[in-house]
Amino acid sequence: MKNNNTSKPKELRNTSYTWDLEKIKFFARKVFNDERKMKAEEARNQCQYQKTH
Amino acid sequence: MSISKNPLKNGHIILDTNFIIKAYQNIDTPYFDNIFTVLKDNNCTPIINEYIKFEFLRGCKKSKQFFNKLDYLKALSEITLKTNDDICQNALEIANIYSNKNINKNQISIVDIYNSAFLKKYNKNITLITTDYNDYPIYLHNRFKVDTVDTEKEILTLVYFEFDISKYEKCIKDFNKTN
Repeated sequence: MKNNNTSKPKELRNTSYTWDLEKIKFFARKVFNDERKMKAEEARNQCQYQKTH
Repeated sequence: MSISKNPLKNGHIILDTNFIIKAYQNIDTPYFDNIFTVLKDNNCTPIINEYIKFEFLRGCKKSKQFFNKLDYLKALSEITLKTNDDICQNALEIANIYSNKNINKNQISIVDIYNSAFLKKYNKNITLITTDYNDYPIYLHNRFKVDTVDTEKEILTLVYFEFDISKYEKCIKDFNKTN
């Protein structure tokens, strides 16, 4: 449903957002998995650093 | 104090950065489904501003991570509101009101001050959801809804705010009385 109330400021008029929870979840999981991988990589690097110093 | 009946209905809601982060960290729990369903059922449009976008997207070490975050933001929000002179002026006034109320300037981040400035600018049309209610003091804002979520890893408090112009006018009056 369009949110096009003319009493609203122009920046907020004619917005056409459609809630798509599956799409949100899909991209959220990608961000979450990236974060998990980065943390694991950082932990591995930290271990490696401690071994060599 | 005047609180509208249902500020979410057909409105726009700013998703604070901490909410955006908690949402992806807990996306497979039923709690965020419920929150998104409430917003959807109220025909409430999620939005961000350029400060939230910056705060969320900074710190990426790899381009893949950056683009995944950007895709997530695009799926989660309809508009990125831009700053203008009015908003900068609002932010400055709000920051000085906080100083007048003895809030340390490091206590509330510049992004949160700008979020309040956007709330003031688009008052009655925009609300905000955050997980940190301390960033939006009640002498300028109204908390009109609070949800507590137990994700098993942590307990989150999700707070919905609107800006209160009458409270702001009182604060500005107090500020202007000082020499």
